[in-house]
Amino acid sequence: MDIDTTQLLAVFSTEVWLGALALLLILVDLVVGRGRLTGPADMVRMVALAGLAIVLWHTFTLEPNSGATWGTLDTFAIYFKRFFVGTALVTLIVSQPYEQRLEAGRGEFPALVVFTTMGMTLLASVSDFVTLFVGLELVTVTLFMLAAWRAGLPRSIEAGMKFVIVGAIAAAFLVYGTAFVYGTTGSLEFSAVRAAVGAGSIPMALKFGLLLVIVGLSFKIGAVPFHLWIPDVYQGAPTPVTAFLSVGSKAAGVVLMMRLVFSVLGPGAAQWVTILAGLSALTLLMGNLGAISQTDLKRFLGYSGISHAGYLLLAMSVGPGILVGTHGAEARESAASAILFYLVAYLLANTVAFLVIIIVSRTDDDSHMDRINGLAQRKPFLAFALTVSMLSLAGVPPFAGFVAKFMILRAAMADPALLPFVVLALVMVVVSLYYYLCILKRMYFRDPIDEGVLEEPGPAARVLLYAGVLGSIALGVYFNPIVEAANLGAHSLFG
Amino acid sequence: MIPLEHYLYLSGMLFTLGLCGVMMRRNVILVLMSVEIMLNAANVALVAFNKHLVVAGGTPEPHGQVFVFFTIAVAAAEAAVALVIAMALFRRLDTVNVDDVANLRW
Repeated sequence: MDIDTTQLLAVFSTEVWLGALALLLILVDLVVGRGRLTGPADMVRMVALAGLAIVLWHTFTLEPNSGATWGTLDTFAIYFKRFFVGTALVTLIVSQPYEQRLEAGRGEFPALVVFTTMGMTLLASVSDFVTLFVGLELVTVTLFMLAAWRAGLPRSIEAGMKFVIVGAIAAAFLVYGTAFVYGTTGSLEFSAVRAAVGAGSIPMALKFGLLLVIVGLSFKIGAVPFHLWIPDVYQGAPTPVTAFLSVGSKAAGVVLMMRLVFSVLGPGAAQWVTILAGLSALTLLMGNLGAISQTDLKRFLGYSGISHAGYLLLAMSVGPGILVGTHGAEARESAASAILFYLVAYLLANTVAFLVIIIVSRTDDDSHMDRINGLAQRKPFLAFALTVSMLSLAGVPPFAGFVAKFMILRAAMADPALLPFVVLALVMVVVSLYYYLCILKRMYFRDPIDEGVLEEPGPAARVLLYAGVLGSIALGVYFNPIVEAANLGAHSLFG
Repeated sequence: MIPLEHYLYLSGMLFTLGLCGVMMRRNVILVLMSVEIMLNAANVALVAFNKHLVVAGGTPEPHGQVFVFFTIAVAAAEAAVALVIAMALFRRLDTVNVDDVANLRW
């Protein structure tokens, strides 16, 4: 096989920069750090933020390029690369108030986040199963470490342990499935699989392999059957890591799932609609019913995240079942674009929620819901920010979450086969409204229980808080720029 | 020559055994070993498929076997992290039994 290095570097330039940045961060920590905590850790963070800002700028200069053999760089991939680098930047800012409380290991934190981001951006331009596996494991293994970051807290180690076991099982499913896909198509590249799937009757072994791959990926997006780790790991992991997990890691699963369902399975996905829509219904039920009785904020957001994965899966099952030809393609494209928009709205709302949680959970890192009782009396702006975030997650107009849910449900409505699932999703929106409003009730109508002093967020965290709140409102009214970018990204997926 | 099916039966058996081990074993180390067995089942399948494809005249390239090297390397990295966390667990909670590690629930 001929390898064109120039093309390869052009396609994977973001990953190269991120990898270099991560190594640089380790070096900076090693040279300047040597065990001291305050000064060097801040320096590592500054280098990381500056580096990520440069890489983010770089992703805006990327041009679509399909010349390389081992990856693709279409507008879809570029959209996600920007999303992932942006998420990493946000995570590093979110972690700033939290890191002050860490007893050790503050210098390595940014480096691990950058390594994870490198894996995520790699996943955005995957075009064969080897890169898929390596990229996915780069993301997962670094996240194992981040989840168990506070090795002094039993909670954090427990979260890490559960994460490792479930993650390793999911990886085994993925590789085993890949083996069968390889055995039946004779190639590990997506294009060969697409050809085999499009050829008409699909051999049983190929179906089996693809099913195992989808099951393995459902671990990443937090869908049934691999959803049980989410609440435990979200609760136990350090809060900035949970924020990173809930947006970045989920989006990494979504990008793979979208490529697989929309692009690789293509029109041949008709036979998968039942499975995907069924998984979506189960995920919606598990997430929403689980969230109702929660008393821990992070665990609550974990269940809420599961239910959001359900909506995303619903959008992925649009199209090939009954709708055929151009009509089906149109519906699928609008569904894909809805997912891309949904992730941005979800990133904004979740960032704000986790930032507020970091502030209210104070130094003992306890995120019990009692902590936000009467928050409106203590810190009115934090209460307002969390209100916007919860309403956006619930999908109430005029917030970004409403537009996102509306786009997904409208895309799903175009497909008559999905009608029962759309009805279920609508019912679940109402159910979710109940538990999101319970949070508001605690903040506005209960008396404070927690007497501790809440520290003020730093300047960067404050800017992020404002940006998240304003963004959630602005995208609910003026959503055209992001929708256009999403349309562009979704279009290239089907090209 | 041993037919392809035999390898696939072997790998299917290994995968199932590994999965049962994960679900039934209570010791963290044994759970991790069971996961390794599952990954190795996938490796056996990959190598067998590759051989089969070469013999059938499909692809002369050893893609499947090369993929196995990737799996082995990644599994080693994963095992390293998993064992570190298991050790931290033992130091902190004085146990490697997964049933004892259940403070996070509901």
